[in-house]
Amino acid sequence: MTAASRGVRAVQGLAWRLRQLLVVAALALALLMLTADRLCASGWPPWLADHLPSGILSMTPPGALPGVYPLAALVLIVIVAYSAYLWLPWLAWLVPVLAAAASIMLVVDLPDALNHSKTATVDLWARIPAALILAMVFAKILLLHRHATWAHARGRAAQPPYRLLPCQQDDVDKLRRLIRDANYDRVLPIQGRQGEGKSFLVQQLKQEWDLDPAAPAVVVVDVWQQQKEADLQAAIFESLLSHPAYMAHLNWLRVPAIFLLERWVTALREARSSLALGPRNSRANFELRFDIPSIQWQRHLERIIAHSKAARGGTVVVLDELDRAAPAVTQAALTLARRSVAISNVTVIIPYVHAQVRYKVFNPMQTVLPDLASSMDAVLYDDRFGRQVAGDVDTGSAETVLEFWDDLRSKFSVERRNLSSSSSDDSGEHQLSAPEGAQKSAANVFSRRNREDQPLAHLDGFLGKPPVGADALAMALRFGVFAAAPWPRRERLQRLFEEKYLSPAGIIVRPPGPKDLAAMVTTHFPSLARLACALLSPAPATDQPAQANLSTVGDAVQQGLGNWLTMKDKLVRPPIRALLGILHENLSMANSLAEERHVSLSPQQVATIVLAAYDAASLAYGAGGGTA
Amino acid sequence: MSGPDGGIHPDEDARVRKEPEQASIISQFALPIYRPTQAEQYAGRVREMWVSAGNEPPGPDSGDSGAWDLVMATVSSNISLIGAALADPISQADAGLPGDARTVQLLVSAAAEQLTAETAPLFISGTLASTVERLQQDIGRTEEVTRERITDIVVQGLEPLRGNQRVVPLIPPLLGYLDADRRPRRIGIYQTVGLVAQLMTGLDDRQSRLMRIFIYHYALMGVWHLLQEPTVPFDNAARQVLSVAAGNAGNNLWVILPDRVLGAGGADVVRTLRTILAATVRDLPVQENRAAELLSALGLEHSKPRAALTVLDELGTLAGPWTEDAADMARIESSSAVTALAAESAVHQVPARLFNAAVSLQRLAEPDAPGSLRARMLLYTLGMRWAFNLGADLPDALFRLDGLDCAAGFLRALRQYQEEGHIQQQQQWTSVLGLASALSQVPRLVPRGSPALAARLRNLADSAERVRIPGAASVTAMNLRELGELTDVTEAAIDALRPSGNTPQLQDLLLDTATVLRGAFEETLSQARFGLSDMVDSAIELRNHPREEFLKAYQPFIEPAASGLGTGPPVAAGAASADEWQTMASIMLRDPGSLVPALRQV
Repeated sequence: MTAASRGVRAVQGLAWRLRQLLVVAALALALLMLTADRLCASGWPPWLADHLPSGILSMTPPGALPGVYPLAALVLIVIVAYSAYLWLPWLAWLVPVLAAAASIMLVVDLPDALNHSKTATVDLWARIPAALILAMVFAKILLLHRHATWAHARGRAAQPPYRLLPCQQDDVDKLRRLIRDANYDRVLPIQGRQGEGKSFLVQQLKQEWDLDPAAPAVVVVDVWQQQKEADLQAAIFESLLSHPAYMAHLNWLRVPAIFLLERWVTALREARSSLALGPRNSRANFELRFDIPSIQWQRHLERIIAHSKAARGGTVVVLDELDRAAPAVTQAALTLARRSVAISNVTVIIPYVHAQVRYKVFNPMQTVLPDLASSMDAVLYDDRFGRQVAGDVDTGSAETVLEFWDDLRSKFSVERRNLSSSSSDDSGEHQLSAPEGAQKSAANVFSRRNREDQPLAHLDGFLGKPPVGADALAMALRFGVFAAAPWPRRERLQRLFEEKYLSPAGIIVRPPGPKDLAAMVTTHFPSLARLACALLSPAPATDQPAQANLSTVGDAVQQGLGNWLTMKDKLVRPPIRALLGILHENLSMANSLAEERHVSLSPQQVATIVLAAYDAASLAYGAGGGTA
Repeated sequence: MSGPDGGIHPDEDARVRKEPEQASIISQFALPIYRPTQAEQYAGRVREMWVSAGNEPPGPDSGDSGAWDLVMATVSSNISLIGAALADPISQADAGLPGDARTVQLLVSAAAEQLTAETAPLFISGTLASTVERLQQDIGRTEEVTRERITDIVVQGLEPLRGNQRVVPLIPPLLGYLDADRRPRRIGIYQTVGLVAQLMTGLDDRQSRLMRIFIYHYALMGVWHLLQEPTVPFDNAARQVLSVAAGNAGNNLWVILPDRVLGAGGADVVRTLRTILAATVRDLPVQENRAAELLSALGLEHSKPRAALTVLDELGTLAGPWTEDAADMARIESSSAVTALAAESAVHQVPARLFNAAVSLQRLAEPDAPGSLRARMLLYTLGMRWAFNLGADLPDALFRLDGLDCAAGFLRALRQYQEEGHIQQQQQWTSVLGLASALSQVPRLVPRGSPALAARLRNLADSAERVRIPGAASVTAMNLRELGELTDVTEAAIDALRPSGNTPQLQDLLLDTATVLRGAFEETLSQARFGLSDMVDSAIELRNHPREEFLKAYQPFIEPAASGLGTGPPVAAGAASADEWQTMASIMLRDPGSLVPALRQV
């Protein structure tokens, strides 16, 4: 460390201390003012006021202006509140306490302040609006307390920054460019396999940009932790509002006070029911239906983002852990990303595993949210009925929607009969029967083919509870078009489903290559480097493994893996997480054996173990979790 | 195999033969299947990684056995994780052959006999690769497993791909692998080198030929250095390696020379190589008196008849570098057909050598003269004689033994003879025209086979149609049901064409062929003197001290000594640049560490 940098550090430390002192002073002053107000205005508490020297009491301002001290204290608290959470988090609990005390004193003192002459009683008329206004301010302080303490806790729990591998560095650079590219779609998918480091990339970007006031504010929302769509919206808000850019410069005052009750409102809305009034055991009840208004998330979101000047570089919302969440939440996250969050000056990043998202979201056989379902049904409808050639128009040969539905019903009724005849337990009460005359030879052929091709398990659900109305058509499309489609057609349908929600992946996370593997075992992961170093032959002079040999290991690993990947050109490169695990296992075991056998290895031999770990990770995990 | 000059190039007729006694044993074995365990498969994979990381191939002699054991013990724990995935990429044909190296060698030979060019790649990339992988681990542990032996095994396994482009990528690893064999050099390793080169026999592109020349030069250079040591015997093995390598290198060099004429640049280098062949090759297995009898019949008597027959045999295979005289060239080429028959060594080349001799006669000063055309017809009919006599059936005689080319050449010469108006008395030519008529029926008797064969047969029919055949000479297909009947018609034509006073000696067809040839050159062509007799004499003289002759003749190609590789014949002949030669050396002599990766890629 140079003298200059030591000097800079010392100045920074001094500034830090100075800020802390200022915050302490402000809080102390607020406390002093509140105490002074109580002592002078009402001689409370008597045990203190009675024992104070009369000189001190006479030094206080006259009681002609009651409430001035609490008001000044409250203003002071509001001004330093965020700084207190930022610089003195251990003392920040004083903020809501002092604010509450100041608010109460203001409400108590307000009538006296407004009514010097005591000519009219204004107690209630002054106190009610004051109490309401102060309650709103206090709610915002409580919200600040919630968001700031949460942000502080998350900051402490954040992983220490790792050095990026060469392949990851390229990906982060690309991500940075795409976010700043105003012409790029505001929903930015990052595709990769499980354990490939997608979340790691955005966390690295967040850590980098959190230190840069001019950079966009990066907000990471853990979708996995949410249970419902409403939870997800609340989580997005909480994550957004707990970002320093949205708290600093009194921005926290813009947060609607109702957000203090957001979870309660949501819970109450879901628990809403009809209230029955009337005599016990009587049928003549009076039923009262009531509805709790929902929070206008979208309006608030747009307003907060539009009015917030703090996040000058824009805002990046990362919907992380998307593919680990329940299907309903994953679907909600993807639809919210397009429908709600992707507004001006906001970029939504969606790290995802393609196969997982296909199964959980773009799968008509799943229970899906209405907007997703209708979009997919529309694609299926168009595929089935919207692609007739011109020659079919008015010829009477094209199949109608009704004929299609009848064919399907016939098919399932045949299936059902077969199932009934083969199973004595089946009561058959849910049988679907085709309308008279609807049986067509084509339908019979279709049913025969399907009987051979599809297992009976497919009948569960669809046959068990026959749908009606619009549901019937939707089910017919899903089972008759999607489920029966062969692979190339199903792939096309799947792509059409995804088209509106997922733009093509902006970034496909790259698996580690030769350079990355060499970096992993030599420089970027100290635990691996220690294990590799311990295997090497000791240097003659020091009787310690020569550090220079470690760079030779890196060279051998890079060269060896390059050769190996040329020879095995079909080998699918592994995800980083799996590779790390196997590398640790193999190098640890090699160390144990080397110690036991008193054997040391050359750099090329250590490289062989590293190569074998890479190879094993590739064979075991390379092909899983989507495309590499 | 028609060459650019219209002749048939007997490409690399000489072959190295190692352990020929195995041939009778291998037919007793069926192709066995052995599936290695996952641990064995994985050990092979780790071995490849070990080499990829820059280590010397593992083994007890590598000095790293402790480290290798540690690495294997470490990574073996991965098998439980990747077992299923590991089996998949290797499982297609991953059986290895059991037993020691000698057993494996027999089994691979047996397998190679059962395989075709289509089925062999699966065996090579799977079974053979796995077997080699296992054997490589034993190098140094046991005397009988060496790089040389493993290369022998691989070469045997690659035999079904001889002349196939798929074999080319394997050649550099094979030579590089063999070159890295650190044991003291013996002559046997150069026999193996020759086998490697001969896997490419039949590949006619320049690059393939240059690669073969390089490999033969490598063998010649190796033997040259070995023979510097006086205690190393100049035995039959050495003779075989030298004659095969020098002869084939000369052949290939001649083909890639820009100008293939006597005085052109590079012809002298070819002559040097072919002289080494003539000087070092073993005597033909012919009794001296029989050799004298044949030479007398040919009109080429010599005091050392067997040596003379041997020299004629070798030099006649490639006469272009020695003479530009058409008659001399044709005579030595046709004589080499007689020597091949006498030695019973390359009898399948006899019709081709006679065909080449007939083609050479087209360069006579007056090729349309009656004598010239009669001599050509005679040579073609002699070619047909031996094709029909040696062939197992008509397609074999026509296609494998080149009888079809001889027949087409005969018809062309006959038509020309007719068109020149040389036939005065139709009566005398009945037998000859009868042969033409019989040949016109041949396409109807032979299954068409591939489109190429069908086209050749169509050409034959077209040639036959242009010959005017009187009704009396017509032969119908009904009379040609058997090959023997076609042979009879051919013999009748030879009798009609043979020079006057030349009586048939059907009891000894070989002697009769030699007699007819002499008559053809001395009477029909009036070429009493054989212009190459001095050259033959000097070559015979060189056979008295072959060792010294080789060491002296090949020394220019070894120099400069500092280069390690030597100038090499193609560079000396101007057929390749020094840079090209060095590049080829760097590619061909790089040790791959293991043959397995190359085999897996087949």
